[in-house]
Amino acid sequence: MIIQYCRILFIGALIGIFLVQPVVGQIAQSANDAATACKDAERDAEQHTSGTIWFVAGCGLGILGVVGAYVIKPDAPASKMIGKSQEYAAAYSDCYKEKAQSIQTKNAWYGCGTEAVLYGLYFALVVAAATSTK
Amino acid sequence: MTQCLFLVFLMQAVSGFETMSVRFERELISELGERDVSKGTIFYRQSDAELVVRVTYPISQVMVIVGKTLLLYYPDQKSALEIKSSIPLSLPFVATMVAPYRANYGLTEMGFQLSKTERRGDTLASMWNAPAKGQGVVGNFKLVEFKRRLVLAESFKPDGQIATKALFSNYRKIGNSNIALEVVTTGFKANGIEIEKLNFQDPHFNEPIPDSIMNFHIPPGTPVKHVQW
Repeated sequence: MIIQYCRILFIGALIGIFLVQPVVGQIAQSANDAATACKDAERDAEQHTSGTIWFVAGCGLGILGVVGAYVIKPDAPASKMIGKSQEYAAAYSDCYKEKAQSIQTKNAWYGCGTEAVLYGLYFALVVAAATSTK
Repeated sequence: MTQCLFLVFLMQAVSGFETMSVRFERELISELGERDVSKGTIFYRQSDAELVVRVTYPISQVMVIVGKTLLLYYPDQKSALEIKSSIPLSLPFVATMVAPYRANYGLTEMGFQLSKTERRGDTLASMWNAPAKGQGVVGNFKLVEFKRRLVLAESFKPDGQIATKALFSNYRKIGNSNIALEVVTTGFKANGIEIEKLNFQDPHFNEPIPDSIMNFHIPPGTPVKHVQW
C-alpha cells in the first residue's frame, strides 16, 4: 500500500517536472518579457517624446493643441521589436503608446493652462486699466 | 537608425537594383549597459517597398513591413502579431527605402540644405541644415566622406547638441560600388549613450528572392493578435 502510494507520488512529481514546469516557466517568462518591455518602452517614450513641443502646441493653439495631443498617436519604433517575443512586442507597443501619449497630453494641458493664465492676467490688466481711467 | 542609414547608402551605391538581401548581426548596448544581440537576414524589394526581416537569433521571427502594417510572425510558437499604424511605418527602415538613388544620401529630398563643405585632401565634410518644416524638431546633419566613401554621419538636435554619430567601415567592392559592412552608431541620450553595432554579410543584389519570403502569408489557423496604434 505504501509502495503504491509512493509510486503515485513519484509519477505525480515526474508529471510536475516534465509537463507542468515548462508551462509555468513559459508563463513566468511571458510575464517577465512584458514587464521588461514596459520598462524599456517607458524609457524610450520619454526619450523620443518632446514635452516642450507639446507645451508650445498647448500654449499656442490652446484647446486645439490639447485635442491634437489626444488625437495624434505616437508610433513605437519597429526596430525595437527585432528578435523580441510576441509578449514583449505587444507590451512594448502598448506601454510606449500609453507613456508617449501621457507626456503629450500632460504638456499640452500645461501649455493650455499657461495660455489661459496669461490671457486672464491680460484681461485683468485691461479691465484694471479701464477702471482706473474712469 | 543605423540600419536605415546603411540601407540608404547601400541603395545609392548600387544603382539599378530591384531586390536586395543581406545578412546582419546587430548588437545593441543600452544606456543602462544591457546587451541585446540579434541575427538574421534583411530582404528588400524595390517595386513595392516591401521589407522582410527574418530573425534567427535569439528567437525565430519573421518581420514584414509594408505601408502602415507591421507583421510579426513566430514560427516556433505558430503565433502572430499584426500592428496597424495611423501613419506609414516607414521609420526607421522604410522611409529611407522609398527614396533610393537619391543624391546626398537622401538628405536633399528630405528638405535638408547644404550649408557648408570643407575638403582636406581626400576628406570631404559637408554640413546640412535642417528642413524649414522641421525646424525645432529636427537638427542639422554632418557627413564626412573619405575617398568618396561615407565614413561618418552625425545628426544634431535642434539645440545644436549631437544626437547620433555613425561610423562606417569594412568596405567591400560589389560591382562598381563600395559597400560598408560595419556600422557603429552612438546615440547620445539624456541618461547616457546607446551603442548599436551592425555587421552585414553577403549582400546580394538583383538575385531572385523566393516568393515564400517576399510574399509571406501567415499559415492558416495561426492565432493573430491585432494592435491598432
